[in-house]
Amino acid sequence: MFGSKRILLVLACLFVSWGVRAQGITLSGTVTDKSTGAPVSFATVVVDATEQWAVADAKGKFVLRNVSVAASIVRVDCLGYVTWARDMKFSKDIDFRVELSPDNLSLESAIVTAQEDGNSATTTRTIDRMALDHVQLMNVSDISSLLPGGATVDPSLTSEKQFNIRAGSGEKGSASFGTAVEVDGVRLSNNASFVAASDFDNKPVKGVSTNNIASSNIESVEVITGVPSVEYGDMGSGVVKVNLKKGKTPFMVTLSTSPSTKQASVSKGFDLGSTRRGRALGVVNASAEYAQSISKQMSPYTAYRRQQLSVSYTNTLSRGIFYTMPLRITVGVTGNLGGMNSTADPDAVQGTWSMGKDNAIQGHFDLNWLLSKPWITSVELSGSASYSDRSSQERTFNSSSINKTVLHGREEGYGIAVPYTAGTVPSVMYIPAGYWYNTMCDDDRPLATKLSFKANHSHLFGKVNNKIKLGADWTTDRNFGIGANSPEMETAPTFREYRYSDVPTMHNVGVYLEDNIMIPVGTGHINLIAGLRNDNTIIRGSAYGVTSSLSPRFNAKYTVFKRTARDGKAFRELSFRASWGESVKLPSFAVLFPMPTYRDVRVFASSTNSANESFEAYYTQPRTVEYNPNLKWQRNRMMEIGVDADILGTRISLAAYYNRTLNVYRVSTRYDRISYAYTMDNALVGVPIAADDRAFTINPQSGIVTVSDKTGVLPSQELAYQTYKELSPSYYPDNELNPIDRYGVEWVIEFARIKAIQTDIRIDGNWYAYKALGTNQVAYSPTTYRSSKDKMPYPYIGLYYGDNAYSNGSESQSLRMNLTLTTHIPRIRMIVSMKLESSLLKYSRTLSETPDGKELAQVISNLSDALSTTGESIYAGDNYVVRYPEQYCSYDDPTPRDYLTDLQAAKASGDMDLYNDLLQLSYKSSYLYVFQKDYLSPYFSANFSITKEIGDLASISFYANNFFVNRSQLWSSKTRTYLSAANYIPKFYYGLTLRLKF
Amino acid sequence: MKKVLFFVLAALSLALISCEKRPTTVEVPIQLMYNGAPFAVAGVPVTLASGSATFDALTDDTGLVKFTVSVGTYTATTSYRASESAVMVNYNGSVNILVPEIATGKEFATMRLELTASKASQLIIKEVYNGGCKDNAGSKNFQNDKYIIVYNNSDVEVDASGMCLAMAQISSLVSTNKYTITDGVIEYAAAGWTPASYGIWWFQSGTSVKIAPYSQIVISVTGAIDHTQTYTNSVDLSHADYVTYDPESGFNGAAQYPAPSADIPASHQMKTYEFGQGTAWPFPIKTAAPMLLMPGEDIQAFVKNEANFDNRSSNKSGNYCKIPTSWVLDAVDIWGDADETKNYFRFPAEVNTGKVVFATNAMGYTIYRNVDKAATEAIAENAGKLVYDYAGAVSADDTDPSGIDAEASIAKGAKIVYMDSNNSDADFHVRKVASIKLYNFAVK
Repeated sequence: MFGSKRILLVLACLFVSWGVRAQGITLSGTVTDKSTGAPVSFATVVVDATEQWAVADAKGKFVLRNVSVAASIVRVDCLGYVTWARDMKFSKDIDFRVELSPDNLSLESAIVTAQEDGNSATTTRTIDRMALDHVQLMNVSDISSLLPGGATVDPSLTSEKQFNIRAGSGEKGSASFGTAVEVDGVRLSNNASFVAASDFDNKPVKGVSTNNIASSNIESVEVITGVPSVEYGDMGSGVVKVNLKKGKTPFMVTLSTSPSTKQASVSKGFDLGSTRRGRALGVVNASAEYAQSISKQMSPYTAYRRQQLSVSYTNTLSRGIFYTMPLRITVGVTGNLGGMNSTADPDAVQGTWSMGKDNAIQGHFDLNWLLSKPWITSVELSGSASYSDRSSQERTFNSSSINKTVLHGREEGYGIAVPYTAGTVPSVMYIPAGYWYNTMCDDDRPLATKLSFKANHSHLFGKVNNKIKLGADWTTDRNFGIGANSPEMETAPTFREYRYSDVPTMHNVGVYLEDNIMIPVGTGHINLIAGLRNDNTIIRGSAYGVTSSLSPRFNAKYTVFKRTARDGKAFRELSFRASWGESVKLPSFAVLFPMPTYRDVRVFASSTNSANESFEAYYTQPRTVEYNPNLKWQRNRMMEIGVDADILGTRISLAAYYNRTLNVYRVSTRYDRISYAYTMDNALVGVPIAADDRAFTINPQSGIVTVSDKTGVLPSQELAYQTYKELSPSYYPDNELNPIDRYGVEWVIEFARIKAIQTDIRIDGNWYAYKALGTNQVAYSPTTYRSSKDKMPYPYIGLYYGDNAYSNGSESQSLRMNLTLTTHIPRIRMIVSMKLESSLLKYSRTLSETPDGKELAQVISNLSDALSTTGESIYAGDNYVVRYPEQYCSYDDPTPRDYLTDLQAAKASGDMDLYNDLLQLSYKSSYLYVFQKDYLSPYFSANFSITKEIGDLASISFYANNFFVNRSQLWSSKTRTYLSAANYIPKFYYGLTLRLKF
Repeated sequence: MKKVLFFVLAALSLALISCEKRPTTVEVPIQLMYNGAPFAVAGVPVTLASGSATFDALTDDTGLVKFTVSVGTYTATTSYRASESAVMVNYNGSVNILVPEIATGKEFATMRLELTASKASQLIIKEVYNGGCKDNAGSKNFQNDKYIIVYNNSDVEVDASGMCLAMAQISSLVSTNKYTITDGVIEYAAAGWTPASYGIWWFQSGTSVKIAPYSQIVISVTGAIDHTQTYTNSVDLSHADYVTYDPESGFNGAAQYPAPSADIPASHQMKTYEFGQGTAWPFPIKTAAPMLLMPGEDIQAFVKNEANFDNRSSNKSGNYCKIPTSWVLDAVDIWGDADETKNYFRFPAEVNTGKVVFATNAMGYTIYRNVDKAATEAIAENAGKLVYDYAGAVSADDTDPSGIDAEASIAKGAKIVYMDSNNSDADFHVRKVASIKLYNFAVK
């Protein structure tokens, strides 16, 4: 790990250049509406090179002092207007006028696709409000369809959706968990959520759900798929930044409808005016949204609802002490009430329902102080807190014809079922036979906070512009939930209390330093970015203590030609870029503190008496291992190269990437030897006490069951028992030893507009490949199986390379291509787009091999004979296969033995009990084609969207997904069967949105 | 005088000669033969008949019977039934015999009476209750109350101690069939075996299971307790004769196998060896295919021998024990619907043809065997005890064609002979109410 002294040394070296004074040029001007000439207030003016900024006042006037560079791109942004950008030179103070065009379809430049950020040294794309409106976004993660090769999905909120950047579904490593999502600077985090723990083995936690982000309040979404700035920590690959609306706006009302979703929203940016002294009071943006989504149109009662209120306040202090050093203040809070709810469903069993909350409250502040000093340009202090309530409740109707035993004890030992008595919850309890309702809750309330400080310094060394970013952030994750609980303990099913709130808070302190150098070369420039991030994870009260990790990142971009300098030439823009970097994804609580598991063995059950009571006894042993001293934080290594060009107005963007995920989080299993007293049911044979008069007790330590006579006539009697030996699994957080590789190529070609028909043609696509092989030694024992020899608990553990399955990994490739035709007729303020989405290659294959290609599974000629191996390759043709563990050990002898040798010997000697027992550790494939390459035939889907503005007052959008209603059959080369295309493309679906501005 | 003496001597000679050539009766020995060998069974009744005269005798322990009859033409017949491994074997034979005059001192040659055998299982599956019922609120299904009734369909007590309970592939759907069907014949039929899935249940060693004529045993497949205390639509299995319950086998699911009622002796818990997977013997609620076996060898060793298995899947769910078809006493093929394009027949034709369709589960319906009207009415002591106008079927289109209400008749003391044509179509119908619910264990 990188020591703090070394970090300070690096910082000191970088501060050497900070003694030089800036030039002190002042840029001033006025921002006006191009169509009306009226001043535009609250427009933000930014000098790209120094990141100095100013905000226009109520009269549209702005002043930007102490600009320390002589040339830069200057941008002017304002909500509702098209961004204004010019490459400007300023050798002296200048005053200029900026005319902003209202962002509507009367403009030639209206864009409804994702746009590449040409100034970024890594792949970054932005989807703005017009594009979001055009596709009628319901869930922000659905914008993935606008990325190169993206596939449209059914717009629904009834299932959780996550961002999954540069990864496929069903893959190891939970790529969605590694995708960082920020909404107005508030990092959404699942680190502390236990509900988000999904697949216990491969994906200890899912990425954050985007369902509770109000899509109508989004101004733009920025997606960084390449190597991001070191400013971003706790991530795998990909950053999604959601920017909410800010600035003065009219009332905007949105009404959307589709067969399964409804959405209504209203928003406005209020100008609070100014004081009598002319001091601006700022802008308040308020937005309210109601959205509802159902999964079954036939039974529209179980629904997801999103009810969100968002308020933000922005102001720039530029008077008094802030005259030369303006301070921009942003404060915001967003609250959401919602989630899935089935209480109104008349089709459910009467009195039963389920609710899954998706409540959240997020608050943030940001203080951006533009100092414009020679030694520092600006400082920024920001903080955020995101509190979620993802609790769930389910009310069930239950019945049993015999008293039902449930377990709540958390201590090791024996217990016999006793009834519930008020105020106490027995470790082993029974619910009397009959009918009962019960409500079970899972209280999951994670809180993520972040406090960050950032200092920026920009300086010009001759023509070389150098920007330094130094920052630190402190994040915390904790959970206030109490986990599983029931308000009706007398009827609660088996569960163990595990208070999430008892899990210690995870702190992470990150410091980072990034240097960004822009060197002019000819008509272009070279941009070099180098950054280093150091994360220190502190978990007090946990054996994990403090863990430190480093994330270096580098970006380089060589812009050969800049478009601004080559108007009229064929080759208008050409740039090359390359990036390399690492990132660290902090573990989730589900990884660090896995939900406790218990081994519960029913060691006795009395015969059922005439009242339908059977008294069951259990032996319980807690089985969770909470600490693994060898656990490493998951790390992502990213590489990317790209080229961007503009030839005769056709813009081409090409990027190739290679991502390797190391130390992927997983949960591993180990086995311990336990033994317990087991009382068989025939132990009661000969007991003279009548069945209805029997009362049972069990010794909590020895497990000996005693039966006594309730009438007191007959003496008590201890029942005979046997000692059972058993291998019991326990689970611990772990890492995959072998990395996961993902690589691919993305391209976007935007052809020059065909002016005659006012149509743009865009072709985008991606080729993506994935390969993962498990190489951990995996232990597995089929504990539900009984020994063939004596029906005792199964005594053997198989030790497998990679996985206890016939396969230990998979590979896949896909090639997707989208063709988008966009016809925009500014005169009638209408834009129509048709997108043809295609999958040209969809390939996958199950693997069973080591990284150097040695096959693990073996071909057998007869599925009934596990030893009839043929020696053929498992990949050659159709074959049944068997997978043996490499070694095995037993309860009595933990020394690993060669599995195959002993299996063969057992068969040769006719020891069928041992043979049958060992055979339980082997895995066979029942299909001949399991290792065949699976190529799915190409498939297509066509989507259609139209947006029409009716003056400045209203606009209407309509979309139809899969409007050709493609239901074709796809050929699978693996199974040699046809599959419905409906499994891969969205169903025919349509929706309409009306927007009003007044 | 000489002349008189001559005639006297001649008359005496004639008289003597006459006595030697015309004896009054002849002893006729008859040896019963079967498959070319003596049928060495004592007590087999043989009838020798000529016109209205009949003579009956029993064989000795060599299978020989002797009649002493006058000269004439006779027909010797025999009909003998024997219970062999729960199979009723009918031996029948007939031969014509001409009994001539036999000279004194001579013996009538032993006649051979060749027997032919026809077999019919004594043990049949009388009822399969596998669909469950609704709970008292009518909102949820309760289906852990399954049982099977095994019935002695003969007038001879049967020793069922060696009988086993098994099931074929658990689904009748073609889509789940692991075997190929060529020209309507399933792959394993020609090989002489039938697949049994998940486990085969047998009685505990040392348990004597004898079933009296026209009597039954109830085997609780799941939940051997009184379910009616909670689910009034369900059945009381707390008095089941036997239970498929062997938690040490791995079949120990708490929902399916609550501790049996104290009224059921622990020795009546059947045992098994789990060669499938899961924690319960997955007796289907709609597409069950139970079969009764009488194994020809040690079943416990048989099910541990890998050579007796055919594995058709990656896990043990497709691990089938190859049961010799000759072991199968009776079987029922139950389908969820009548669509022969979607379902297939799971048994070889010699075991069972046809299917019984069980379309609606969780309504308390049960699959019940039809009555053999002729055979039942032929039992003399049934006179006045048979109840007709049976109306217990779920559908009038699928009812017992005999019209005899079997359970009502049994309640009146009748002895019922059930149909056993090895055709589930002809032999079964779906009944509205489980028999043990109406006449709970009236027959033992």
